[in-house]
Amino acid sequence: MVTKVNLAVPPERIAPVMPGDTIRVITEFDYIGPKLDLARMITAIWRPTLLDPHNEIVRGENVFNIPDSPPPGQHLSVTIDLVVPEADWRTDYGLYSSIRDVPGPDIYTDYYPNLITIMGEPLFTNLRITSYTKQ
Amino acid sequence: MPELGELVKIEITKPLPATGAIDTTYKIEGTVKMFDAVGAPPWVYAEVRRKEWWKPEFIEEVSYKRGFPIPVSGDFSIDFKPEKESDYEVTVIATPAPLSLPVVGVFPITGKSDMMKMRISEKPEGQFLDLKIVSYHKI
Repeated sequence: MVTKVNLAVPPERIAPVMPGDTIRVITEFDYIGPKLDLARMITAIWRPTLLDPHNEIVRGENVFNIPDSPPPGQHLSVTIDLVVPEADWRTDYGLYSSIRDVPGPDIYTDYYPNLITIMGEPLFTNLRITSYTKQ
Repeated sequence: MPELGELVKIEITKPLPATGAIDTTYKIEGTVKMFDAVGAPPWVYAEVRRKEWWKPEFIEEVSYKRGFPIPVSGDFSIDFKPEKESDYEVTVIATPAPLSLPVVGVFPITGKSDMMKMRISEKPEGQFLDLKIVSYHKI
């Protein structure tokens, strides 16, 4: 099982994670334009539900400044750490990122589905004595 | 004997660009040197004329941005942050005494730089391209 996934190559999955583990997500983009202060990147783990196709279970954010970037612009990278919360034991958690607090509408990455398996806490159920005998 | 307007030599080492955007700070850098004179360095100001074609020069909008020359070296820098879309003509001038701002004019002028023309337009919106998550891993 791989420990780091590069989404630029055909997708693989990292080993299942537990609540309390930290996942480091790196988001990149190119920017052309004037400097912008206090832009905000958010990254979230999500999974589809009946009510919300992109239901977030945890979100992290990073406020950053973008320097003046005349053409051809520059390549920027933002790193966000997400602490895995208590969650259902499922294999279909995904990731997405978005840039907020910049002029114009928010900017989104694709919603990347089925990237992460979160294992819940070990679950003991149905504990009972099933028989007893004289030896 | 130099004339009053030639007592101080102003050399611009970092002129304004020819074009720019509103609400962006531009820096004018240069040096100021006095000819045949001793004493405190002169005060420098950027005289900013906002050019509007329909206005005669005498009613043009003129403002002054103050610079702070460093003693001995005479190096100075002046910040210019245009707030209106327009053509501007900016000249750095020297004067022997500080003046409270805003002022109608600065007098007497003991030195003058070459005039810099600058066209200020709307601030362009930034373009975000190719936003993507490139990797993730457990740490």
